[in-house]
Amino acid sequence: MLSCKEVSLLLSKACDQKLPWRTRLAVRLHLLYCRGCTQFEKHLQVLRAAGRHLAQ
Amino acid sequence: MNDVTRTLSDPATWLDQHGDSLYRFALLRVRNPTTAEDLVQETLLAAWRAKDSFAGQAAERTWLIAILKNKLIDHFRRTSRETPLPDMADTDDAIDALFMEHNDHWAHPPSAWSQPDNALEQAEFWRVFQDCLAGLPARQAQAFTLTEVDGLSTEELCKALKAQPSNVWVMLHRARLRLRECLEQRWFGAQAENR
Repeated sequence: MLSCKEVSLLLSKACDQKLPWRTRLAVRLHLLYCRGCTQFEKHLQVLRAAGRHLAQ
Repeated sequence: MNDVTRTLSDPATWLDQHGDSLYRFALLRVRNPTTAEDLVQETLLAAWRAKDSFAGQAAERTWLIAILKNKLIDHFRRTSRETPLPDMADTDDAIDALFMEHNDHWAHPPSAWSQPDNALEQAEFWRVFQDCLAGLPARQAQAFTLTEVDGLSTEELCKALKAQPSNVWVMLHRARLRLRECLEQRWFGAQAENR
């Protein structure tokens, strides 16, 4: 089982490169029952959007 | 037909025309006014030397920004050679504190953010964002800006920061965790309280 600390690192890493499918699956399973990490994934998207916004 | 070939304006006017934009661009990334000024100066000098090679395909400012980007990457390479990398230590107490010691789950799970798209349209949000970014350890802020603002790939980031992929991922992750935490405390959380 993955911890939130591990999942958050993997979610962050997934912003920058494609994760192996097994890892992706393990992360998806974790997200099914973890609200904190689900929110964290959304927040990563907001940070990305903010970066893009700054680039303009 | 759309074959407009742009020509450069008089180099003597570059500082007036583009100086502020170049300076802001540099300052966001290096966070040190003197370094930012130096980089703008280097950029204008390099541009002046290269003015005959201006192909006229890009706007003058875009061309200058491209030169500045190269100067920034050189700068990051230089500084990462000169200084050891404290942010790449294996442990980071502030980050560890975000998770519970016994099982590595969130100590305070991230909460739902209300209307993040709306936030990006507000000047006050950007002040908070810049503040949060400035509060990050320098290398983490660089990693974040180079990736999310400048769109560097992991490979390019490794070159710019002279670091291994595993290190830059950790740096980026720590930067994102810190920024997230800061924005939640200072913007998204504070907003919820006002409701």
